Amino acid sequence: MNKNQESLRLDDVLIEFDDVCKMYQTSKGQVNALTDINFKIKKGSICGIIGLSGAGKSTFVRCINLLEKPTSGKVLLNGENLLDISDKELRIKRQKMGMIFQHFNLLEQRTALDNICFPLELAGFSRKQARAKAMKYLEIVDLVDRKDNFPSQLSGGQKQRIAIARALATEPEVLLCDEATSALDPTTTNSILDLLKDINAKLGVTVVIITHEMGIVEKICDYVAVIDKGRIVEEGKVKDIFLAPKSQYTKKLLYPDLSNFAVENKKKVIRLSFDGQSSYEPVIANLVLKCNAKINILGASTENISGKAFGQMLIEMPKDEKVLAKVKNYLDEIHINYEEDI
Amino acid sequence: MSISFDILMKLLLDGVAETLYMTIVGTFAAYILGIPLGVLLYVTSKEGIRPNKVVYGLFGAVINVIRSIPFLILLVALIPVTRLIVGTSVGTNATIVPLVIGAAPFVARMIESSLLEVDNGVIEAAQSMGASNFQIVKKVLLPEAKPSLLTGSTIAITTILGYSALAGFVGGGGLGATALNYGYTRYQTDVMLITVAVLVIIVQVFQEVGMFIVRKTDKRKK
Repeated sequence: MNKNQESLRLDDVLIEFDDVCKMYQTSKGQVNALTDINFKIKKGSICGIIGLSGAGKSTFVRCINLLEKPTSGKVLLNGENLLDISDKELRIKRQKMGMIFQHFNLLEQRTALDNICFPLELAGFSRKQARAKAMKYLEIVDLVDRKDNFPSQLSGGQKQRIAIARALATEPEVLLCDEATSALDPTTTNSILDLLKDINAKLGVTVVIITHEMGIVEKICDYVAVIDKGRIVEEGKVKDIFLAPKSQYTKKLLYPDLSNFAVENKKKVIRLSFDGQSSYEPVIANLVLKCNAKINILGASTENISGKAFGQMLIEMPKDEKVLAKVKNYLDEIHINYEEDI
Repeated sequence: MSISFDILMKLLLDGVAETLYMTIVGTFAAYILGIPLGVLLYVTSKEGIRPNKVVYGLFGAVINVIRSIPFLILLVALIPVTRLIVGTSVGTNATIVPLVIGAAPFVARMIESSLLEVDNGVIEAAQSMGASNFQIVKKVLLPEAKPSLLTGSTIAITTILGYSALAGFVGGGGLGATALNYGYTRYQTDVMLITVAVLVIIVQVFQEVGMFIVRKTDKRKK
């Protein structure tokens, strides 16, 4: 277990998985969807659960609100084991856990506004109260002018915004996002991520993000768990995981194309991580000119956000100790994180 | 023409009134029985929100048995039951009893299949918001399946109209009885043809009005 996790105070933990296992019986035998999951989600954080499809991440998130019941273990919400309470109590707890989905799952026969009213009606609010509250959340997601539209009249991004408003209407403590941007284009994805970040900052709602895209974790999460074959293979602060991934699986997630590079033995591969350094610094040119390194860019995924560089770059250079020392020296000087021999 | 125009008009008007009476009352009653039955089938089915093999198997079997019996046989077989409920086994009202018993299982199956069309994701979303099974049926399944349920009811009403035409055999009224009594028994083919034409028009009207309402209420494509 990670040190960051150990040091969490009890009051800071919103959700805790204690030895959670989930098994399915299928015609082909027993499938272990989740094995020995121990995990804590901190109040107010944005926590990412990343894995490839079939890794068990959807089961993971469904075990939080018990849409799927773990075979063994405990799921604690504010210290209370959800597996011990009655169905009726569980339904009330679920009102405090909003969820959004890949395919939005809006009620097609209700208008945008009435969709947001839906969880409020379930919670026993009168129609008038529900509408007033729903309007407030329509404002938060910036779709007041679409209140009388039906889902079929909205774009994917707008549908997800309505779904977010709907999930927030009962003032939940946590918002569970199951591949919430996977059906959206990159621009819309970014605007939805910005909205989630905003909601987290302004309303203090804890956000749990299930995704297969590292870019999403990188963009908005504070903490991340990497899940493979139903087990957590690695977890930690997003920055730490990005700068120094430990498991082979995480590296594969970070650089899906790495295996395609035929790297000769004579060459050395270095990964540079940019996390907010100036994007005006001509790093590559300086590596060539100052350090005399004949570098070759193998792959890069970088973004320039208001003059600061974020992302990764994979470079290849000859195995020359002298040059390498210079390169390291230079990178240290300009505070760029790097990793060798990946 | 084998009978006078005045008599023909009276025959047809009475026939239409009786046919509409049997069909509408019959359909209404068949839905009162069929809706809970259809919901029960959906809820207890393997894909439902509370699967129950025993309940599903039992009700499914009874429904299949009733649906296999030809309506004409059911009409005769149910005479004692009809007498118990209506007091007589002859006439238009008496026809409604077998009409409802014959149609309710069919309606139930149609409701089950309409409910199965509702996206599982929407049901999961409702569950994630803390909806109870009753709330899911009332606020998600039935409203979301509304267009499909209405399409089903147009099919049901025309089927029940067809059933009601057999009422003539047990002394019931309606256009079917008119066609049977004049066309078949008295060899007045012209009366039979006119009656059938009127039946065709009624079915067309039901179908068109039904589909119009479906288009009006479906919010999915606009």
